[in-house]
Amino acid sequence: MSAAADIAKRSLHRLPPGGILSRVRIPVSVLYYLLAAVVAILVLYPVVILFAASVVTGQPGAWGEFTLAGYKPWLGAWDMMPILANSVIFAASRLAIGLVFALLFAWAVARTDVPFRRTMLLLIPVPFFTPDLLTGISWLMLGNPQNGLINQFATYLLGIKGPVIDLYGWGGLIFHSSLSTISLIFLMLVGFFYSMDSSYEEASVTLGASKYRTVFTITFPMLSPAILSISVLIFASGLDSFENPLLFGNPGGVFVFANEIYRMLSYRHPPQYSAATALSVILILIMFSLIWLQWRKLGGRRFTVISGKGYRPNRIALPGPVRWGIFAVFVVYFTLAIVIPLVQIVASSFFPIFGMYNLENITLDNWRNVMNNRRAMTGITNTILFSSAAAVGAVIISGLIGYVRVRTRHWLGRQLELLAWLPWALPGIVMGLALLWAWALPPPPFNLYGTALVIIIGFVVKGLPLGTATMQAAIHQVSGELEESSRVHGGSWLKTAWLIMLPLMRRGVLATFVIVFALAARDLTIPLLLYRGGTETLTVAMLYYYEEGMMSTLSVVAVIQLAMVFALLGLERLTRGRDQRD
Amino acid sequence: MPDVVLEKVRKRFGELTAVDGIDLRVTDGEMVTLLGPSGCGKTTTLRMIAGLEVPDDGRIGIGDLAVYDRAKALNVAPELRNLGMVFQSYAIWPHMTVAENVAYPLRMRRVARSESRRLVDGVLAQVGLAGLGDTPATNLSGGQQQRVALARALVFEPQVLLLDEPLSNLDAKLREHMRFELRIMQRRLGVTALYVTHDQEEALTLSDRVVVMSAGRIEQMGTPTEIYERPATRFVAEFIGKANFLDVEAIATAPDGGAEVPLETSRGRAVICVPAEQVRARDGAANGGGSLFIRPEKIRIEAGGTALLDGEQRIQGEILGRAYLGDHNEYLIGIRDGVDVRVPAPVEKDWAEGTPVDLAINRKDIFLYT
Repeated sequence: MSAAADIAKRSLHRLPPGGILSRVRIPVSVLYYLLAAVVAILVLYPVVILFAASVVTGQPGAWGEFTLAGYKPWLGAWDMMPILANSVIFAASRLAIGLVFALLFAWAVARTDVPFRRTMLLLIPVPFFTPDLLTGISWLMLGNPQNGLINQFATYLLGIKGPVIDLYGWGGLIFHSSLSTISLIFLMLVGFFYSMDSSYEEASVTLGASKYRTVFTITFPMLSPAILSISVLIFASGLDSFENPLLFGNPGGVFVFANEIYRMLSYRHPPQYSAATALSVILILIMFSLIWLQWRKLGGRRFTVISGKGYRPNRIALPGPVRWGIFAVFVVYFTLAIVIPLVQIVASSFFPIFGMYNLENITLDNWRNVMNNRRAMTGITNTILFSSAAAVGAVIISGLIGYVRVRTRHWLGRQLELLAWLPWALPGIVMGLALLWAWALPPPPFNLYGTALVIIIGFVVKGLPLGTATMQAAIHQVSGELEESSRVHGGSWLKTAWLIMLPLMRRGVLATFVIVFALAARDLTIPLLLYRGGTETLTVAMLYYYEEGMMSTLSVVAVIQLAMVFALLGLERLTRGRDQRD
Repeated sequence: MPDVVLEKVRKRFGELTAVDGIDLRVTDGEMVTLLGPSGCGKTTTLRMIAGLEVPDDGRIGIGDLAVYDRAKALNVAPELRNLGMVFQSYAIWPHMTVAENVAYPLRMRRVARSESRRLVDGVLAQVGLAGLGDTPATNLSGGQQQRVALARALVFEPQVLLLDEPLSNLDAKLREHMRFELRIMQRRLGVTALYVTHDQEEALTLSDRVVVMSAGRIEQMGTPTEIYERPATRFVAEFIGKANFLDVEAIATAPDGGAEVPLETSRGRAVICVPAEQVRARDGAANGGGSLFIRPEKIRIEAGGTALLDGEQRIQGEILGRAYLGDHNEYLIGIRDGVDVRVPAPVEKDWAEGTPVDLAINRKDIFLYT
């Protein structure tokens, strides 16, 4: 046992006999304050600067004088009323359409015997993960009034003069943005339908109500707190939406907050910074009140229907025509949301001239051209680099936030979580503008105006809310004793993080990485306002090609983006599947 | 092996005082149990010794070294305290093999690989898991995981072994078996051990000394026999073992300093004499009522009027009911309306319901709590 005694002695050596280690001790809470400072600089600082910048005459990097001119359209005059009205109409109609179809799908998949339920459960979320910019451009290639493919076919084949379909303006805007909204609401709702105890519905049927009546008297009312809560969030996300108003609204003269802010900055000379910034502040205030409403009035309410016991999947048997009718609705939906736009964009990437889809013309020239195109390659490289860097950054920061929140009783935990969720209430275009102001302000070397770093920071901030949620869940899954056991048996906190926490959280870490990467790789607003020559991303390049009418190049780049996003999502699903088998 | 010393250690969680200034000394090689209901502060105390909770006040020493001292603003990190600990959930790392789990403390201490392997094999043999080193830790049964946790806590010969309800997740049979095994292992290694449990049987069978805690304070500290036979407070009497309490009002002081307690029964009045050393007066005052406490097995049932042995006291009662428990009967005996005691008796003696009986109790087994 002399060896063991030797180890014991060696251990004793590490004990500070009241020496240096024990006296010069940094309290752990100093690290928490440091973390809070970093998060505040990332998240809070740009918002504060944005508020300040809304009352000056200058532009990012040069403040100018105090002025209230930006708010003039809101003070007395009603110049901004159309923007407000358009925004509300847009957000409300997309919410209404989204709710109708999402409720139908969620109810059918979770509670009834509709055919191909598992396929539907797998495929309905896909449109949400497919970038709106991509499907939107693809649909516009088909349905723009001048040379949309559908209109060309109608003219040549059927001899119809004038466009049969016109996606510019309100019609296209609401049509296309509803497609991904249905998918998103379904994702948020379907869990509630699954976990609802079916005995409530059975009781209703026993008492003489029909199946359909039960849906409206029992099922939906019981879920109404969840539905209401989600509705507020979806309405808010409608105000956030940028790509759809830009693509469909601009050419049709429909302006909501997001594309109006962008118009003030990009299509006016000189750019109207104070008007755009003031408009951004108004939008933030609206978003904050919506989120506040959702938290205060609805968020605190318990959804009593979600009992802890496993649900009994007592499915409602529907008559044949209804079952297949619902399935047909799904097929139409999926065709419009995914099949048509993706087939179109993939096809056009293999033909030299957009629309001339003759099999003899099939070619790889577009792909070769893109490989030699500096702008495209820079975009691809930048997107991969920026998104990866942002994903790593977000994993680390949200991991630390999650740790303080979940594992310590420190009061900062709650504040950090709130800060991490703040970007949730910031529309992308507003965040871009806020970052532009904020990082053009400090003196070098902290002046990040026009650098890649400012775009990466933007992606990190955008990824924080979902990143923190996933990392928190991952930390929750690792029992505190696994960590404490390492500490007691000699592992420092760094070794514990590296040898115990990280391996046990690998699935959550990977999920967070993928989510943040996917959010960043598809984001248009942040790089659009922050890029300078050399820091364009893939999405910025896509918009450029679209506006220049370079459809073949655009298609190739779009397919590459799509492949990137889906490959990562697939990777995440794959590792999840393997872990579950273990 | 060093002592563990706690001086006026205090810990609050918000409004709640979890540990309310306790003093405790665990001497070299001793096995001490912290026993109490949930929320009494026993686990918090153990976690403060491990360094997993930071006390608000007081001093904790392991050997001659202070690991926490409020006055000197000293708090040594858990990994520098050189302790072994077995957790309630075992806390076996699922991404490592058995051997990797057990070798972890050695790895942290930079022990050479060959040496480490030798020590791990040795300790695995000691806990009866020889040859299972390469098994993934998740493939083990609950009992085996328990042994891995123990092996990991012992492999580096720590100064002190801490155990936090280590047996509570095992089934009853295995728990009884492991109890003995733990005790034998602790004796053999001579390691100082602190054991937290809410299970009184575990505490009584395992420990050299038991510390009964309630609401963040120490109620009594003593050997298992002391705790069971001479509970210091009504709480200890009630918490450990079975107890009969008889509420009494007027209490007179006897010439020898003991108490003379009049007890109304339905068949007359008895005066119970409690020796001075068995009167546990709160705040020194013996007036204003209290409770007599007698362990059920210290009561003998006799037919009415039987002569008693020397030093025994008589309380008259009546059989109210009987429960057959296999190896013995348990009787419910009425003293007067609404007041009754439970008494075990051998199955050979059968008392019918309604029989008037005398209860014989040795004076040394009667306690008075005020």
